[in-house]
Parts: sequence; structure tokens; C-alpha cells
Amino acid sequence: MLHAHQPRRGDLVKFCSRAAYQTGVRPEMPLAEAKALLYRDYPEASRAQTTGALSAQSPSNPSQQRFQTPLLTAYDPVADQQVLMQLAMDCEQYSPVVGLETSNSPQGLLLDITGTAQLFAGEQSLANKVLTHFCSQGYVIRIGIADTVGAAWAIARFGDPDKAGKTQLPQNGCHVHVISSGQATSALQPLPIKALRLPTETIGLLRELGLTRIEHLLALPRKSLLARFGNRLLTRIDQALGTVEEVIAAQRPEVPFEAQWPLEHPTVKHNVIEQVLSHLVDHLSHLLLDRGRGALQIECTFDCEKQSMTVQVGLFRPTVHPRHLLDLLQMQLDSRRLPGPVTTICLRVLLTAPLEIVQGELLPDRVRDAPRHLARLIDRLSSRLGTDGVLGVQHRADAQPEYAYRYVPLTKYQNNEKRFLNACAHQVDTETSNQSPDRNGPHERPLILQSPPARLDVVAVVPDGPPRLFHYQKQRYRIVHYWGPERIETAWWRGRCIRRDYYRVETTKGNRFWLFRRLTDGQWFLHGEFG
Amino acid sequence: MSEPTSQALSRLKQQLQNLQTREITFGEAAVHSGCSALDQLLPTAGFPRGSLVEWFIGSLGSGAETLALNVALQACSEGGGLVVIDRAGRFYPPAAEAWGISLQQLVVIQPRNGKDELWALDQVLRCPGVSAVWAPIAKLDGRAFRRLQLAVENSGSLGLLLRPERMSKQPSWAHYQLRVHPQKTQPGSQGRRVRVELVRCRGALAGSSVELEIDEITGNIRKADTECHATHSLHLATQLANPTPRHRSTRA
Repeated sequence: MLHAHQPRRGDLVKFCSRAAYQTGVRPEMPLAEAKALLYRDYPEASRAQTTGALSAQSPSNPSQQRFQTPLLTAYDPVADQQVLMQLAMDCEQYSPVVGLETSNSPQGLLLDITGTAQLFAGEQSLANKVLTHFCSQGYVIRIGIADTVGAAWAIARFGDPDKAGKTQLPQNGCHVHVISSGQATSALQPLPIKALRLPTETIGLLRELGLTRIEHLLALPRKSLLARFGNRLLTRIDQALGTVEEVIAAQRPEVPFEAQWPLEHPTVKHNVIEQVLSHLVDHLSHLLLDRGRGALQIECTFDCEKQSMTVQVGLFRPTVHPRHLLDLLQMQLDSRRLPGPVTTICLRVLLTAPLEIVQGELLPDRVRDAPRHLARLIDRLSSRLGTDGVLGVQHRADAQPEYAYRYVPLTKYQNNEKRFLNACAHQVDTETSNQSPDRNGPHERPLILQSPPARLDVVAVVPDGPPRLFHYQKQRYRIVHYWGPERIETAWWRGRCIRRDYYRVETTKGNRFWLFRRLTDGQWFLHGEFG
Repeated sequence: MSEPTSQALSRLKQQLQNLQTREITFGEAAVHSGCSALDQLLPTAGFPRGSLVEWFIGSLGSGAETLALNVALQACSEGGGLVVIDRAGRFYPPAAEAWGISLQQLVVIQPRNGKDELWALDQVLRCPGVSAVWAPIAKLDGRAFRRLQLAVENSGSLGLLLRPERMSKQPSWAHYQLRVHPQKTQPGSQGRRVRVELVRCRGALAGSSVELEIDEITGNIRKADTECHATHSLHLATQLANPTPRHRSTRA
């Protein structure tokens, strides 16, 4: 049984097996209720760990209906997607075009078997081969074969099991439905409207109107359906019947961008290593360029006789420029020491992104070319200083001055790139550029912030104001003007509560500082300088 | 016909400037400082792109960093990035944002040591995509300084180096050197006062200075003792938001 958390309703059952279904568990049921039903039938499960025990239903033992200990685990849609993509790759032996069904959480595969069925002695034989392939891995599947994607999807999921075709290996729960050419309308009519892949709200509305099967919809005039439910319903009907074409988007595995160079003789000579690196970078750049992708993260492994050394380079913007990539790698290499003579050099691109195509210009323009130059600068800086040394700034709505902003590494998050480069490429209106609604006035915050705040030696304290004299960095300051107090308090749910009274003060010489008195104990601190 | 005296003097002055300064033309006007009175101190009525400007901080909380940031703001108004090199981790971005700097144009570099700091400053000043660099930096040896000067002249960015007063005696390759002294706020004034002294500039007379008033409500910088215009619409609101400074009594 797989469960998922929903913000409003808590943990709910996402999927359950046939055996769990028989105990009364249903999808969308609260997890606690589902557990109670399971443990009622499997009392030993309440003592076992919920995620550790697994007893798979083996297809070779169809009589085994019950789990020894139920498996309860969190639903992982990413892992599901990855396995489905792998299964799609496996299915390429049956069809050149294999794709995932178009939905937010695809559960099925679409195979275009036009012209391939005769290679397998007919559609039924092909279906049996696919069935055998999946059942041998423990999957329970349903197969639908029709002229259109919509019809095949509908019949596979909602076809009557009693009317399913006979299979060579009858499996519990496995079905094969074949709709003969030109028979889609008659085959789809008795199916429920869910078989048309409609949104949940549309299905609900149709049910309220008493329309529960596809034949009900087909009986109604198209104009009234269009007026009442929009274009989407008609499009789905047309896709199922073949009036509108629907194409399967083939799933292609990501080609690994990798190149390797084994050296004939192990070497520590830098000129040899640099030359090899240059060849590898050129090779990968061509591979990336052919596919219209740029590198965002590359890894170079130097296999030495006794151990390996790996260097990684992150980029701010996807690039295929070989000179730039080589410079970044050499910068990393210069700061490290090879553990021994190098036997093999392997270069891998770990992360890619589509390349942006930019029209070349004859004449240089400083503002227009700024984003390109900045991206390279950020790459170079990050390569030497580390990703945490080159930072963008994000505003945070927090009363405590230290937390009113946060630094974000520019090369770690791709979203930073577009926002930053767009800002640099355009003329900024200094009057309206800042959009933070709670932005302070220029006089309210110091440009230099002391972190942590410096404890002050106070000479005299006036009950309702700042100190008269204070010492800071071996200097004595006498205050002549002050503004405030500005009280800053943080919310109690943040944990440690901060309560401070801030003052902007000016000394006899015109120096300006930002002081605060901690309200809990009356201690004074210097927090910033209005430099 | 003999050339009029005033014209001859202007021509000779221009020739002298050309001889003394390296002609750096990027086809653009000089970057204004944000204050016309400060621009008038400079022979080029602003800071030309491709310049290094040293700001000597007379004392803590003097206003030098604010003035330098205003110059950076003007430089970035036409696009390009603003890079802050903050090794000490004391730069406060929300204050820069309050002064008009767009956080989306801002890159903050935090090097771990002096060597990385110098290298990063060199790289940043070489980049044509950077409009301005704001960098508090103390130690700079002659060779490194010269390298920075050449880097900024080639790229066309504007290097604003904030340096402690004690470094003013050391040899410098900066195109401009300015010293900022804080001044006491005058009664009834809307902003803080600073005095900016031109320490050194090729083609101009050193030692000239100007007293400026920084209006901290609006961010405007003007020459001190300028009349406050009646059209200052924020006047009443600023009084509410910014209570009149309470003068400390010297009597017990």
C-alpha cells in the first residue's frame, strides 16, 4: 500500500494492491483507517516494521492471495517515473515508438505497433509476448490494441475482463483487449466516461447530468456538448474515435555525455594531461552542440595508479564553449595535487540544459553583451572560490535585520540565471527597480552591518534614550543627535524571541552608528555603521 | 586673427589633460556621481568608465561607502552588473536596496583570503559585463594595483575601492582619490553632511573639496547649504516618519 501526504487531509492511501483492496482499503482513504483495516486482517503486521517487510505476490503462485506482512511505504512519484521510463526503453524491442501516457503521473505506456505486428505473427501474438515480458518481472498489466491512442487507452483500463481475449499465459488481473479496425465506436460505447481521459470536474458534472457512459455522450448533439463543456470533451471523443490525430511522443533515453582517454603510459606531466583534457572537452562540446544542449555541471576523474581524483565544475549558464570549459577545469586542476601518475582521464557532463540561440551581431555593444560576459565571470569565480563564494541576494520578509535577506549561490540554482541576466541586460530605472513592499528608507538601515553585534562599553545611560558616551574600537564617541527608538521584536513561534530598541546616533564628529538596547537585559550593542 | 585668450586657455588645458591622462574612450559619457557639486570637482564632470576611484574613509560611519554606492548605482543604471567584494562579510544588501540598488543586478563575492580577494577583484575588473565594482580593500601592493588599473582600463567598468585613511600615503595607481570626512548635522537640516576632498586626480587641482548633504529620506545628494525647495512633497511625511532629532542637552 502506498501512501502520500496531502496538506489539508493528511496522509492518504494513494495505491493499494488487490489483497489490500479485499480487506476494504480504498485509494484516497485516510492512512490510519487503512492501517486499522489491514491490521485487523494481519495482526502480525502491527508488530512488524511498516517499511521493512515485503512479501511479493509471485505470479508463479497465483493461489497465494494474502501477504505475510503488508508493505506500507510512501509513494515516490519520481522513482515511479524512472522505472516507467526504463520499462519504456525495454519495450523498444516491440515498437520503434514508445512513449508514456500524457498525464501528471503516468501509469501506462503507449506503443505504436503500426506495421510491426506482422513481425510478431499478428497483434495477438505481439500482445502475448509483451504480457510474458512484464509478467516475468512480476507486473500485472492490461493491454489494449486499437486504431487510436484514446481507444486503446480506454479499452485497456476499462474493458470488461470477461470479454478479454485469451492469452497464452492467463495471469490473474492481466487482460488483453483488441478492437478490430473500424470497430472503435461500438467497442467504446459501453465504457464509462472516465475512459475518455477527462478532467475530474468534467466527469463529476457529467455524472450529475446522468451521463455515465460514452454512448450517452455520443447520442448528444456536438454543439450542445461544445457549448456546455468546451472544446476539451469533443477533442477527447474525436481522439478516441480517430477523427483527430493523436501522436505518441517517443521516450528517448538521455544520451550520456561522456568521454574517456586511457593513457598508454601513466604520467604526471601537466602538458600531456592538458592536451588530453583539451581533446576530451572538444569532443564533448561537439556532442552537446549536436543535441542543442549546454553543460551546467561537468566532472573530470583522473584515475591514478593507487587512487582517483575527481574535480567538478558548475556553470552559471549552459555553455559548449570548449575554451571556457577547459579554463575552468584547468583552474580546478591547478589548485589540486594529483595523487600519482594518471592512467585514465574521464570527462562526464552531469547536468545539461537547452542552449539559448542568440543572433550574432557585427558590432559589439556593452549592455547587450553584458550577460554573456557576466555568465563567464561567474563561472570563473565559482570555479576558484567555490559555489558559496559567488552569491546572489534575495530579500526576505523578516523583522530581524540579520535575516532580512539571504545569499543564494548563483551557480547552484538555475532559476537565478534568467532573473539576474535579464536584470543586467536592461536599463534599470533606479526609481522603480526595487519592488520589495516593505523596503526600508535609505536612512533606516546601515550599509555596514556588524555580525555579530558588538557589545558596547557604555559610560552613561539616560533612562529614555541611548547612551551618552560609548567606547568602540579603542575610540570614545560622544553622541549629539539620535533618532529612535525603533522597536524590533520577532514572533514567539520563531523560537528565541528578539526584542531590541534601535537608535540611529550621530557623534560630535558626524560619525553615524546603529545601536540597539537588548530589552531582556538592557545591554547595549553596536550593530552597524552608516558608512 | 589671434585666438581669444579664453579659447586658448581651454585648448591648452585640454591638451594638458590629454597628455596627463590616458585617453579612455568607450564612446560613452562619464558616469555621474549622483551629485552635480561632486561632479564639478572632477575635470571630466564625472567618473569616466575604465577608471579606478579610491575612497579614503576618514573615520567609521563617515558616509564614504554611501557616496561610492551612489556612483555605482549611476553606473549600473544603463545595464550591467554590480559586483561587491565583501571578504569581511559586513556588506548589508537591504541597505543597498534601500538606496536604489536592484538586488537582481547584484553579485556578492566572499573570498576566503587575501589572495583570493585580489584575484577576484582582478577578474571582476577585467569583465566588460560589470558596470561597477564596490570593494572595501585594505592592502594593495604596487604591482597588484597597477594590474587592477590596466584591467579596468581595458574593460570599461568602474572600480570603486574603499580604503582606510592610513593607506592614503601609499603609492596609488587610481585615477581618482577622494577622502570623505563626516560633518555634524546642522539644526533643521534634512540629511547628514559630509565633506569630500579631492586628494588626487590627473588633470585637476588636488585639495579642492565640497560639502555635501545626503538626504536620507529621498536619497538625493546635493551641495550643502542649498535651499530646501517648497516642492519637496515628502517634507511633512518625513517629519512624521523621521522625528526631529533630539539634541542632547549638555546641562545635567
